Amino acid sequence: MKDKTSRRGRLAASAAAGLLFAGVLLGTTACAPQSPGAAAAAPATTLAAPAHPRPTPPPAPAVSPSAAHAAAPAKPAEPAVEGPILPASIPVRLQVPDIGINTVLVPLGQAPDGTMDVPGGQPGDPGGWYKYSPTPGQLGPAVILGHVNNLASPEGLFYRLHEMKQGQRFSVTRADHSVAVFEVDKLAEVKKATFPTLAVYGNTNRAEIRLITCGGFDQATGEWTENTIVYGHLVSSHTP
Amino acid sequence: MYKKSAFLIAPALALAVVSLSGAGAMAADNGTTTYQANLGAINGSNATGSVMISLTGDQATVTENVSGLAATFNGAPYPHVQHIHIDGKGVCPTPAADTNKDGVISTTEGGPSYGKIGTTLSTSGDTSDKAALDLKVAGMGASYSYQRTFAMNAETIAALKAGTGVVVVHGLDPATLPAAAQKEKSDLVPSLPLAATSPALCGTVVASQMGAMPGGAPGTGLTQTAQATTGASPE
Repeated sequence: MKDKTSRRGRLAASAAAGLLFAGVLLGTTACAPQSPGAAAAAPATTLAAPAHPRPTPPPAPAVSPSAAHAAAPAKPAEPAVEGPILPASIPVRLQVPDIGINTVLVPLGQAPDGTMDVPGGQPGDPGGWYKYSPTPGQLGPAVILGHVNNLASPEGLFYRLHEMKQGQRFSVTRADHSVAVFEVDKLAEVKKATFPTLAVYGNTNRAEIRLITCGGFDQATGEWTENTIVYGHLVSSHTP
Repeated sequence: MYKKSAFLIAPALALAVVSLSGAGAMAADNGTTTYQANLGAINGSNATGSVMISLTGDQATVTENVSGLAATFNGAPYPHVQHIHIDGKGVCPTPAADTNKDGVISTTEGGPSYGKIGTTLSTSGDTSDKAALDLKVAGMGASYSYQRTFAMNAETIAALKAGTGVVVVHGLDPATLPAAAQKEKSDLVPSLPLAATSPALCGTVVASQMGAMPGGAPGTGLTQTAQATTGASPE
């Protein structure tokens, strides 16, 4: 059991032993994001090198890489919108057939420390849509969270998220009964300590979506050190 | 055995409370507005960066990550003065802004595009334009992360709301300039070379599509303390 990046977590060991807990308690820091609110709340100045590794930004605003070498290109603040865009409507269900996800979605707010709330931890608890992100189908990055494990199993709602591949499709049913169909652009595994906030949550010029869970379980510390992120964009919508 | 409600952090009741307008995400409950800027290279700096500004009233928390800037200057970490420019066209300058044709867009030449300095993103002390050229409170080195909360002046806030705020990070590696330009003096501080004060990164500040930017990484894995005995089978 040297696998530091096991997704199965601490319970894998006991599961292998053929039994699964009884008095499982939720730890004080689910998924253990660095120090709570480090990004949002720290009032002090921090200047530390190196900065976070530059992730590949979503096909979004800003400078195109090819132009970045020349002296600055003219950069419109609001690049032209591409692809289909839907009016706002709260998401109520996520279906990702390729990895066996079919779940109700609930709105998630923010914890007092500025981090996102997370869904419940019991088996069968739903996924969550971050209610301060665009609704899936609107312009911008809609954010949907699911736990990688749950309190009864190392295999939670989004346990198989890391299996997703570019080009796969999944759908979100919305309160207006429309079904928004998304296509996977890429899968990313990022360190929590250097979470690329703007690449994940920054503005986009399409209706995009992020499916996020945890990864990188460190057996030594019992903490989840990474996030697994599926980037996708809206390709179509229909009514069932 | 389980207290389900205790774990369900987002009550389903919230569904009933949420109401959305047609435009963008709902605003945060606390009146915070989030802005962002993707910083692009200017003058061939090959640097990259990003800025987020979370504004509640006049309290601004600025979070910035940059990399690929000039690393050293006279054997010490290169000081990169950085500002939010305001009241210009709200854009970054194009090569056409190089009016003296020396191959470098100087800070002055970029002025019509991004305007005057509204706020200095200093690491301590004054954040007004008076601190604009204080190298001691500049960002330092090739790559750095900056985070600071301060009272933002009304002019800068107005520019952010109007979409005319532009973040500019200054300081080029002199060796990357055309030979003639390497000998030029700074248009701002004649005791410094032109490279030292010329723009290296630039990005227009725009309102975020997120009603509130979440802080840090989401906690989507549960930490479990197991008092292992027999019990439920895995899901």
